[in-house]
Amino acid sequence: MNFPLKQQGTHMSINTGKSISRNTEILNVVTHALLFVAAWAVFNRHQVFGLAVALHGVLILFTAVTSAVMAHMLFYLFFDWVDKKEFPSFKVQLQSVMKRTWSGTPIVTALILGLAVHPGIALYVIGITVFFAEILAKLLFGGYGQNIFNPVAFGLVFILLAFGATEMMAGHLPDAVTAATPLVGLSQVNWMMDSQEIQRFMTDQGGFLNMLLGLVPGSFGETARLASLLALAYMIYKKVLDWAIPLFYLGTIFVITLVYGFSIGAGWWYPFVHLLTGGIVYGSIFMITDPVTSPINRQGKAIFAILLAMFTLLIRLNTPHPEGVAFAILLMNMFVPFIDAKTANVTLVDTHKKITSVGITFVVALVVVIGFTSLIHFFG
Amino acid sequence: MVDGKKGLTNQKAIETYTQPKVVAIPLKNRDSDNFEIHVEVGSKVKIGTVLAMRKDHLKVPCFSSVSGTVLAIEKKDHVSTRKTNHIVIENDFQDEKERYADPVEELSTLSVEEIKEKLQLSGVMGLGGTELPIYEKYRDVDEIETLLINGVECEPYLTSDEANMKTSATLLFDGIYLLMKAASAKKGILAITKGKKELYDALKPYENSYPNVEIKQMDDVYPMGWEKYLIRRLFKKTYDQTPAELGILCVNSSTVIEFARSVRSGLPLYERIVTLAGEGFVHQQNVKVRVGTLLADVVAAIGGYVEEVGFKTARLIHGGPLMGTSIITDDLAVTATTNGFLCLLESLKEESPCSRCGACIDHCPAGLQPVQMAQAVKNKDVGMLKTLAADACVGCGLCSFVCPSSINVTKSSIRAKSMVLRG
Repeated sequence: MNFPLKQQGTHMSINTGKSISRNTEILNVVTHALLFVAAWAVFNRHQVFGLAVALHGVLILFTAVTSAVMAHMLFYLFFDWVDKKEFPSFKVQLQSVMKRTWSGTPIVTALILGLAVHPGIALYVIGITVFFAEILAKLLFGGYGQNIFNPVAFGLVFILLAFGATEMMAGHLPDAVTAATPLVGLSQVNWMMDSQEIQRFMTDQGGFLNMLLGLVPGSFGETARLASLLALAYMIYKKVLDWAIPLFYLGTIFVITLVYGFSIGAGWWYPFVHLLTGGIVYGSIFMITDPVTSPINRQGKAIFAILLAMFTLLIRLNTPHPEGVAFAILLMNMFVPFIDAKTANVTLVDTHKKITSVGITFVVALVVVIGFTSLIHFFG
Repeated sequence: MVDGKKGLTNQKAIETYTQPKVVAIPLKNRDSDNFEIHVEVGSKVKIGTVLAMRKDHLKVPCFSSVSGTVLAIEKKDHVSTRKTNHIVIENDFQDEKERYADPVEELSTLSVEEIKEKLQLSGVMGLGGTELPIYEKYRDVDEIETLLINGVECEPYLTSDEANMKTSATLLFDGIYLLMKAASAKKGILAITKGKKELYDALKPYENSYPNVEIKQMDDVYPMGWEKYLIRRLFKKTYDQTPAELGILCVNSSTVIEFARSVRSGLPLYERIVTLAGEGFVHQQNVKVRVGTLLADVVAAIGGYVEEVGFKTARLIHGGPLMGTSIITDDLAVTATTNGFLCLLESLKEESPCSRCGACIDHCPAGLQPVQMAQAVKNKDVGMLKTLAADACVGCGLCSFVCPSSINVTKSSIRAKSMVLRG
């Protein structure tokens, strides 16, 4: 008896007893984690600002997802037309377009971006942002897996540059929403504070626990820090995420801000002011862990995370921008091919060398942040 | 990570199919088919008659596995997917035997030189897949301290080594005794997989009567059976070219058994256990067959294929699913090193874009970066491939298996290796 000639590897025939592919499984886990954070965030916004803002939050996510899916569909339809691709019928074409759309993970990107924005943002702003982020940062490079810039970070920077601070807010929401967030206040004093100011700041925010739970003004989903951490634990448990990036990122930020905090006399609680404001925790879990735009092996991931922490803190402490995560991600995305090339070797040998390289990167990050910031303060 | 699927066959009794009408003995050893043929069409042969001899730098004999008449010497499909010369013999069912030496009753009477001579005469070769004659490994054994017997058999589905060890435990320890003596090794380690209780129970009693031999149970992970990985896990050491650098000689368990059987009987390897597994067979089991038996005959003898086979949904594999080769016909002869045939029904897996998740890097037993190698292959960047040490790839197939996007990473890894070796 003859059997058909198969080009693929023989392992392809192993019946794993699963009806969905591993990729779909991973996407499902990430989506569930995000929906959990979203539910928590909506509840938080309800507690802090009331029902109108909570419902507005749901609409933000809905708009973001719709816009992302539309961006993919329109992009593929347009270029099918430009390339004069022929399909037997419109139905077949639509099936092909939808298949390519889902493989581009629009929902995950849209949810991450939707949760990272201001809770009072106008719906047209989020719609346009997601649309352009998907097309400019993902589809133009050839779709998911080919992009070099993180679409979410791109979207956040896009909002900052394309819309004014007040005109991008939805008009019908209570004024409390559009009031300055704690981050802006901290940024105005360049994050310089002594231990008493920290105490006052913490009390204003309702204490450590409130900040961890996210019952404070701030971004829509980024404030739900405990929820993000729980989502991280879930994703690590399900083995869809490498723990190296969040660990090295948060660890570096903690150590550097601790050292810096003591150098300005702010004390033990200073690192928590950084970790519990803005999008550091949220970004470390959902943004910088994007596998496509981060290095591929663990050594590279550790170096990437440490340098990312360095840029985040440099931007936070020394520029007028209150938040450093999105800028830092875009900066570090440009380093990824370089890091990949420099860590191309056999993973099992030279372990000492690898640990040393990560250690040196860490020391460089520490010296650069503290040294640079101190110099600026000395001369400024 | 990889489901062993051993339960499909390892509990069942071994079927015997040892009287085929014809056998076709392939004239191929490793990648060489340079053989000097000693018989012609019409010659009478017996079990153990030397049919041909490899005639380049290695001398590897090919034996007849039945008694009868040579029908033809012709090119046929071989399990390596290349056409190879086969000697086709018609069985006369007399089972006359031609021994290369007298049967040995008392093994302790054999001297080291006699054992080495028997290694050469019996033509016993690495049955773990290398096909390297064992006497080659015994050229230089002055430094050998430890004999490591690899009975791990980590490939999913395959249970022929396990079945062989279970039924021939006495021969296994006879063989360990002989091979340890020939290498003057002080210690023997028999590595088997954890969780195979019946096998362990069958072997355990012998550990007492052979104080120098120790049974080690290894974790049930793929690719534990890879020599280098096994030694890394057992001794926490790694070597460059061969285990001999660490004073270790590594031999497959079936090789040991077949050598002992050969010394006991004076006949070369002419029968072996082959696993037939996978949803495509009506009955999945281990079958004892003559070397050279045609796969189609064996399959017919155990009940044939299920109905779906033949509708282009099935795949036939020689060896295990991770390192085996896809073959397109069952008109093939069982070789001395064939440990199994799988007939698997295709499950739908579509390739999607690489998300650079790094799963292939995390799982590579050789510590390579398959996804980076794939990129370098695409760019034809040999310099980068050298930096990535692509030539260390053993083609174990794990990177493709773990890839969440179902990309055939192994294919490009193997290409990367050949690109580096070509320079």
